[in-house]
Amino acid sequence: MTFFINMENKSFCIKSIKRPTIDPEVYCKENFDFSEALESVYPLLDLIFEYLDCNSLRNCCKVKKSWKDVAENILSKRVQLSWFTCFKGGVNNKSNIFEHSVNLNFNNVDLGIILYDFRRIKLNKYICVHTDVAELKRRTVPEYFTDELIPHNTDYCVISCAKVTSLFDTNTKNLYHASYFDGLFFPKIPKIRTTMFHCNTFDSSNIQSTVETYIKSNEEIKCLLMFSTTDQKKSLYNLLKKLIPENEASSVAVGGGIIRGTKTFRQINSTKRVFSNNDIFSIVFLKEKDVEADFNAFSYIIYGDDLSKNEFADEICKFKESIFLRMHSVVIRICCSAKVAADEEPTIFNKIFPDIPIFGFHADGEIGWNCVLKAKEFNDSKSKKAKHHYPNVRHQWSTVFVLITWGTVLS
Amino acid sequence: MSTLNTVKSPAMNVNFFAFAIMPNIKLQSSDGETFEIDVEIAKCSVTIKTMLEDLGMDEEEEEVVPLPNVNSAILRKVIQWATYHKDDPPPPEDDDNKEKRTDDISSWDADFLKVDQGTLFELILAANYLDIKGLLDVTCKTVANMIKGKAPEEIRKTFNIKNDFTPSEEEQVRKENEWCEEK
Repeated sequence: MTFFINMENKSFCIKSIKRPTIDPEVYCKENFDFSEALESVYPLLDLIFEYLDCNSLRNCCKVKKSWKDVAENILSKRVQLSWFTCFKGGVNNKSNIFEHSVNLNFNNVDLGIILYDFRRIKLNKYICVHTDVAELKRRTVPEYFTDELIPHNTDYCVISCAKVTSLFDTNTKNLYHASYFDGLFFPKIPKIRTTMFHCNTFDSSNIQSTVETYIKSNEEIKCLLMFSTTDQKKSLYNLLKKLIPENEASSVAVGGGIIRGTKTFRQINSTKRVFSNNDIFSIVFLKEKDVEADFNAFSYIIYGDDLSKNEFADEICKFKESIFLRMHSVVIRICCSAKVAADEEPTIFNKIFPDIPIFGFHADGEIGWNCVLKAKEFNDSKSKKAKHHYPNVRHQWSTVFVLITWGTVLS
Repeated sequence: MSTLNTVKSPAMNVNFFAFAIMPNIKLQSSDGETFEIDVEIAKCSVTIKTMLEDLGMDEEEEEVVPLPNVNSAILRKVIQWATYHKDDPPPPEDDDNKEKRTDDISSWDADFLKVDQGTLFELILAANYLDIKGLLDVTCKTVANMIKGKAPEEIRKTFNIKNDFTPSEEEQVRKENEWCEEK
């Protein structure tokens, strides 16, 4: 845990979490091949590589073939989630606190999602990054993210929301104080591919080309997260039709919401266009159609802003009864920004699903439908009017939970 | 070398009783040199500890433990390390999901490991053979620190590694790592 100094809200100061690099004074010996020697004793190279962070292991992959094999093998085992959060707390809630999972920068990251509170953080503003050697670095927020928190060559997106309310660790965080920014990193899950894209839902040719670019014909979506800046009533379904077959809608987890904006940082950069208000930003988890993967995603909507704590807890229990969990899980919580008494929701969820990190934000309209083992029948009359058979995907006064779970099944 | 003979150590002379219940043991290196050290220090090696227990070696007898895989130069270093670390708590169990830190090497250990690559390698082998987890950890950490924060070419230089990727494979690796920001 590190603290940073708040300077009258004028500049944002944060302490660097970068560990110093130590160069041991081990010198070369003539006619001695150190690398060959290390490789000759199994599993010595594995033992050494276990100490390396994600970036170093990726560099090892480029050194030589045998190193690549060992490094890739170690990376493939790091299938845990990693996260970070920055919020106000400490003594009298005067300090700003940065916390992160013990495996941040260590984990094998596939995709990163960062949520930030647009009223408290400006992406183009400089922040001060303090290091141990009393050095001060001026960085914009994305520069800071890339420099300290995001492993090299990792695709990530930054989402601007009204309120960021993740709950990763119940020990220190006061839930009534929302975060400045929270980050979630999905590991590389075997047989699951993730991707993200913007798409103009009013432009059918753009939908077609986007889907063809980002999703292979032999892949199916297991989980879809959608973010829009405006309320897209009918056009949302234009995209859904291309992504999820109607008859499979209830087996694909869907969640998302209306937020203020998105920005992506990634390898594939096929489009250089400016995004309009008609754009929907999507994050998808894909699986090859005939391949089994140790992965599941579920989604569940709890309606109403006048539920008592017990009623809300009952709903969460119903959700828990209709799904199963695997070794690693995370839940994404999208809550209506107009709900009055939503502060307790993460705590209630945490009591029923202990140890599952909650990555959450408030939206001005929620997106999602129920995807559980026994899907509820959706209202047929409504969907006939809408000329499609998808469940209603737009909601108000609700909380949407998307639970993503991977690894071996827990009994 | 004073560290090798605990009898001469002033700390041990203060408490004669402690000396009396901690007899010495003789270790013989591959090249025939014999080292007499405190049994308790020798027991930081799980290999020696098991050997003593399994063979039921009478600690009062003048037995010599042969260590055919460790030469005298390395054994001297290992004993030096074990003597300095004799009061250390046992190293914690590994947790695969936690970051394994490498910036926590003590300055004594860092000085101790200012050696050439060949010696470092032999120390790793000895730590592995003698099953001394603490020494194996710190030597592996040192090698990890030689890799950390370095670009692939710098790593090759440090370890004197020949790049065995073909140009097309290298191009593939480069492509995999191409990265640009979407505006």
